[in-house]
Amino acid sequence: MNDTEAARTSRTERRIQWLFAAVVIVFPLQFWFTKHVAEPYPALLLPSFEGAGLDAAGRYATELADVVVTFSDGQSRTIGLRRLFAEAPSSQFEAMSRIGLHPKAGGPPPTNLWGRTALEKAIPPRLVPGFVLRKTRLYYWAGVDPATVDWMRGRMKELFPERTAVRVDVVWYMQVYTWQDGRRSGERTPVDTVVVPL
Amino acid sequence: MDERSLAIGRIIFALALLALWFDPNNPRYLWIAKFPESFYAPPPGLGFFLHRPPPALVMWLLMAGVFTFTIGLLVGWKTRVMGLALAATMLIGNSFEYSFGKINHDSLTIVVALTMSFSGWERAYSADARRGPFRDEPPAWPLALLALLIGLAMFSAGWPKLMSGWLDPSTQSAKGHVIANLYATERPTAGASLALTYGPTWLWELLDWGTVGIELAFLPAAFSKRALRIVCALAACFHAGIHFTMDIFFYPNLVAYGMFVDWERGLEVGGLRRAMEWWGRTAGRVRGWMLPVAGTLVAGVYSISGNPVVTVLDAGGDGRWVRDSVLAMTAAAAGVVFLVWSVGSRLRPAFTAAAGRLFRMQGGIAGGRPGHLGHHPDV
Repeated sequence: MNDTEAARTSRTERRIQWLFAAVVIVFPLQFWFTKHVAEPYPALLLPSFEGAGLDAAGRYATELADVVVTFSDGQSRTIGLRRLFAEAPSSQFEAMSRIGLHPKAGGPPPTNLWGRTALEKAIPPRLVPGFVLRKTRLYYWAGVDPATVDWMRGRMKELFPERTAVRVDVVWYMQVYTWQDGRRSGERTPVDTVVVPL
Repeated sequence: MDERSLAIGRIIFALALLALWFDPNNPRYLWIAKFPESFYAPPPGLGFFLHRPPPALVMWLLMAGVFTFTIGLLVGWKTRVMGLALAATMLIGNSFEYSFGKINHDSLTIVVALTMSFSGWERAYSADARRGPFRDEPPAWPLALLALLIGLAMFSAGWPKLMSGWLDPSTQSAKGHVIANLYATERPTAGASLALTYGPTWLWELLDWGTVGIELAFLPAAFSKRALRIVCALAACFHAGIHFTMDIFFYPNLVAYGMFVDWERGLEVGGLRRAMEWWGRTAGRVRGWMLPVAGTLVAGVYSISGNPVVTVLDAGGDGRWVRDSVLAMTAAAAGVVFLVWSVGSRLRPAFTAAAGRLFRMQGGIAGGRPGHLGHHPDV
């Protein structure tokens, strides 16, 4: 091996060492960011399935929704969120339903959300519009977005082509399952209802 | 690692993507065009810089890109470029697909494409291999880096469980998540119903501990090839269990584990060796222009008629479920075989030594030569 090749090999080895060091340093930072800010993409993460899931009494609590469709003849029909969002992957529909059809505790977004001056208000929507949308859609609620209403109208036509849907109620409830001795029992408590007039 | 093992790993990776990446019910990247932008809430990343997801044509082109680069990997044409391009395309496409509130944790697919592009997996059964010999040895660091990244990724799954009560014997976390998956996510499986009906508490608790144990074992195991293979084999069984109870088939992890398998041992089977040699010759005839043509055609077929693998398997019921079940069982069976072989090879020297001592003792008793039990060596 001549000097040039030896120098190149040494440089390559140093770069590889830096690469391993970078991985070891970046991973905890990414882990911290995910835990305390939000999960980024891309990230070196696998599903944590955090939480005990079942409490000591063998109960599992989760918030679910029924979609109650009212037709022009006054009759109604109830379907699940999975069916409403059948065109989305099964991994996505719960999150999507929370973005578009679930009221948020924050209420409508405040006017000074991004600052007080016109300049402060203008920068985030121009620089990082996706961040603005994420914040307003995950933490604030000003009713169902008109685009969602349009989508719902089209979806009802696909699901019930023979009938005319006039209104959709998304009824959120807290469901508690108890599974003991091989038997399931459950109780549900209404939480909120989102009305989508079509 | 043998170059042929790396090459077979590359081919398995590409075939797995072609068979599994494209969801038959909700076509990858294309489904987002069916939803309005009012569902768009991207995570920190590329999506932050857009106010809506890209139009359907862009997403279709990204999907066609994934197929083109995957086929490029399959035949090994400019393999490093194909691997890096595949990783970049998936990263961009996934960034938009995961902008609707949920990130699917399949980043190990991208990690495999990135790291293995430098491993020398193009050195056999590929168009690159037909072009000319490689002078230097394939580097070892990409596999070491992949092992470290898998270890860290699994740690990111195991540590939150450890810290959030999975080991608490008074609660059964795995059971809770199976119930959630069954009712909230609406993924019913016979395995979940059976396990919930007949599974005793101690079994659920064992699953809690086993899950945390396997996930945390990957990181220390990354420093030993043998230990890592054993943990990967155990994890293959673990993933099969998740598939049959929760209908979640985590193929990105399985293909990542597959990079550490000595596939060249399978070449002792004549038929497989001949098939691989044929594949190498066929790949050598591939020209660059064929890849975008093939990629576009495959993307067209997939987006019009769905995943053909699933379409064929639909004859036997739910094609996606059949496909995932067969692959999950195959991976688990391979894991069990490896574990048995591994334990056997560990015990063999001790057994041989003990048998030798026994033979010598018996030979002494029988008055013959030690080790021959008094028989003539030619008999």
